[in-house]
Amino acid sequence: MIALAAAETGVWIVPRVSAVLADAAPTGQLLAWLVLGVVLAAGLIVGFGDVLRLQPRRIWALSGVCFTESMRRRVWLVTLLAMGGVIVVSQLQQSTDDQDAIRQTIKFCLFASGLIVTVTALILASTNLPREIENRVIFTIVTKPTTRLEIIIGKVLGFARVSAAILLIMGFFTYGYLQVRNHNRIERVREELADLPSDSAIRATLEHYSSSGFLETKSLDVATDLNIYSSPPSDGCRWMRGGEPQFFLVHFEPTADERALLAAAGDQGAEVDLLTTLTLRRMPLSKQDRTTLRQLGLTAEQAGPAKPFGPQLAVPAATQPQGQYPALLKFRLLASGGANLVKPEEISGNSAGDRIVDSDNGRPGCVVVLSPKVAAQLAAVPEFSVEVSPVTPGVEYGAGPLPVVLWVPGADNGKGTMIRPPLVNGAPAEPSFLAPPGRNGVILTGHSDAVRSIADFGFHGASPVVRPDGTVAFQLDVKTERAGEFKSNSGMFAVTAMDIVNRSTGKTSGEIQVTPELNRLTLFDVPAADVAGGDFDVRLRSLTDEQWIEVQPDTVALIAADRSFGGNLIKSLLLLWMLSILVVSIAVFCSTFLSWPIAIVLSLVILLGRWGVNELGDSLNPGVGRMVSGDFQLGDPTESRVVSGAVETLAKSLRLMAVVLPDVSQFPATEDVERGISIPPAALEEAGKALLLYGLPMVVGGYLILRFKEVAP
Amino acid sequence: MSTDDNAVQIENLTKVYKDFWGRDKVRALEGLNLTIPRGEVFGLLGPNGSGKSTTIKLLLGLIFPTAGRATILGHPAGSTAINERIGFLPEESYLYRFLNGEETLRFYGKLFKIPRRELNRRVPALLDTVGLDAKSRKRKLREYSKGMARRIGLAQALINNPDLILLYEPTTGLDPIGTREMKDLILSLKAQGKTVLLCSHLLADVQDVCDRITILYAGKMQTLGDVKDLIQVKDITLFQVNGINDEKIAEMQRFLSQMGGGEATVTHPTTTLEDLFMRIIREKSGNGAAPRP
Repeated sequence: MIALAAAETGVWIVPRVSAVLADAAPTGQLLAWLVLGVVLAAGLIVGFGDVLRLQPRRIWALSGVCFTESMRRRVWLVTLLAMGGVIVVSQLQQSTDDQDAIRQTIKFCLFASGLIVTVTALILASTNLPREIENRVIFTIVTKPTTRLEIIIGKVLGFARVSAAILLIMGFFTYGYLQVRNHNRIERVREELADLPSDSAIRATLEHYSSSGFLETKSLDVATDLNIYSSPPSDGCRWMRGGEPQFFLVHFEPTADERALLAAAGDQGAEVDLLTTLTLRRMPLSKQDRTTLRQLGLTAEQAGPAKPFGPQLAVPAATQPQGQYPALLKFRLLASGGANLVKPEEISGNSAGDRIVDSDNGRPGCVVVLSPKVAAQLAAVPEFSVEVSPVTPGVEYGAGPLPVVLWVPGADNGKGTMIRPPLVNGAPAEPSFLAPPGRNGVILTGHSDAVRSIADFGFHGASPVVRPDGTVAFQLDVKTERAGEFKSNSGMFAVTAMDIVNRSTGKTSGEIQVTPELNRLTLFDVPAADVAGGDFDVRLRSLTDEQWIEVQPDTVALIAADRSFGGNLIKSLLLLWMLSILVVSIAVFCSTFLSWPIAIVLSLVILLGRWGVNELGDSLNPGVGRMVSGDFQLGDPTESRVVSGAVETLAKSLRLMAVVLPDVSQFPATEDVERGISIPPAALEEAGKALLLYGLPMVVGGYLILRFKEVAP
Repeated sequence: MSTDDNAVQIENLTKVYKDFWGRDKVRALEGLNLTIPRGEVFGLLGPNGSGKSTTIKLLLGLIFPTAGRATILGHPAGSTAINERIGFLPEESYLYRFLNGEETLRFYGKLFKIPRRELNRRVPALLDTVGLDAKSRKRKLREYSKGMARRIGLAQALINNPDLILLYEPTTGLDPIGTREMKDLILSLKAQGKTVLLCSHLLADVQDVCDRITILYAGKMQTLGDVKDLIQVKDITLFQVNGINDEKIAEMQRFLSQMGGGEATVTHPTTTLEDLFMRIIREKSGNGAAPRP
């Protein structure tokens, strides 16, 4: 959702980068829009007359029959089953506290609602048309002035009405049941508060729930970007540290001319340079740093001549200070999607790490020479990224706004040409500082004695709502993991510290220490002046050695406004309703040419195909054919080639199928409601778009099939 | 006769049913040519598998012809626009069994865009016409007897006041009273200038109401003409005489024999069982009207 995993190392790329690095979605969406356009055009060509004859009253009458049939068959009884199930499961649930209990109950209610509405819609819509053809009721419909288009739309609308009725019943139940549970839990919290010491770490949170209840819904402003640094930005640099799981990414989108230059270099056998300019800071070495240095086989060096730098950024007579460990870097070239574009070992010096060479002017850097073959590979793709990772412990590597550029020495009549990242707001796009992922987000290591890992949440244009006491409220939602050996009795809580740097005023707040409960929301207040203007950075670090905390861009969120739970529930039900309409559209489409059991199966394949292929993940990446043929240990090269080719084709077909199939994750009905976050209008908009994109072709496709179908069996 | 004067015009209509692989399976109808003028009650007869159903389905657009064409009231058969002027009673009442009689008619009325006020007037009137009382019309169709199902089926076929009515086995499942009412209704429709295409196995019913018939066999038309002409036995003459005794009858037989007429047969005329049934029921019901179901 928020990040995507790169193919080989599982590197997480946070939203800003993932937006830049194209994943498969835009291609799939483009293809889906194309399919929609083609199907609509075919529908209009074939059935323009039927479009003109569309009569809302006829459609409503046809839908009314579907609705009446469902109600008189007592389909609504499934809601009673669902309610019973929710009540039983809620009573048996193992919750860690009151907030968790309410969250789980919300999840059960919405899950049950979603399950029954989609299953009911699927079964009703898949069976209706085949049954009407089988028992010949269709004879009395198509012999009336009813177009086949009206029949299809009427059926979709009819089952959409059934879904709405089911969701309405479940919505009333959910709201009522949660109000009862909320009331009971508030009473319990009040009793707990009465016995709680006044200095308890959880007192503020409980007092909040005591006054606001557990069903509050907040509208949140979250960070628009997240960077992981080793220490706060300073001296025009952002920092990462060797020995820490940190790196930065620089994104490139060469213009057509620049790609032509790279291609020419590839053709002419010319090398291309990757120029990296960084600032170094030597830090005191910890015991762990020394261990890592030994493991890396690094030793302090003698002074010596520097490797010549690129023509534009020549470093005159640089020397390596005596007695210091060499500052090494590792590079990767990543394709769109995060997979390796070039094998790391094909990048010069990468086996041992490329060496940073200090210069006299304090602008150390290094040149990575890219072979003509690599230059040709870069020319072949519209975009790529350079990943730069620090290697040497005890060294902080500082990157300015433009730390990496490509240099094509032979271009421009031998003068050379520089290729920079694309412009954003008139300046080259700055690198993103990242860290590898844990299970729930980017890992932030905890250090009680030094600052070594900071998550910087950048807020842009946030809208703080100032309370009467002059504060604004934040929530912290971190996940924690234990790491390493326990050295101290730090207890079960990770202690975090935050600074807020207001970019509008230039002021930095005092340190705010918060002890988040494990894997749970923690609320805290800050003075409104610290976030005035809405452009600020929140810098979060963990002060507990044994605790890793895992962060995402929404880990720290500004509570912009309080919303009603009822309103949020309605939005959630609306998302479920849109999903059910998509299910109905697919099921009706399948039922126009298949018997109902097969129609149900095909509908499920269409609905869950994308999810299934996504679950297969890397197994379908290029190369799977080779892997499979290797597993079979086929001796004959021809056989091996055939198996490999077949598997590759199958994997490719599955990947292609996945991108044109609907993405049910675009109907996120439960997560935000469960977490007490107001569902943004954009989520409804996206769901509506997905419904249009995938539902409309199904309706039109169903019409086209029924239009030419002989309905007399 | 111009095309516009014809309710149905069929030219070289052919239907071949294919199997899954597109190979010919059954030639259900072959080169049918037929014209039915407006205002006529026309009977489509034939044994099972003769092509009657296929013809009706082709006229209604339920299936598509392999060759040939058919027009209804001057428009291509199966077009949505012409369905506004057609009423169809299928062989069984293929209706929504979860609706009641009144809801059924309202539903089909809405498909014809009949205004609500007009529907409020037309639905009870039609239910009266087909003989469904106030209690029956509120019952679900799944609870209807076969006869009641035929009646509501007929009502839905007439909801739009059609110009052409296709009736498939309209009297099947009806008791003699219902059968008589159905036949009366067909004749009344004819009197209103409507065209009725009747498809039935009950030849007596066809004979009673149809102006012309055609008989299909093996997908081909075998005969076509006026009912009276087709069933008339022209070399036999029938005399009907009232109030003479056996002696005089014997004398007449001798006389006819002398006239060269061959052996003369003497019988007493019988009424039909239907007439007998109707008379008894009327007498028993006391008011002279046939009781309704």
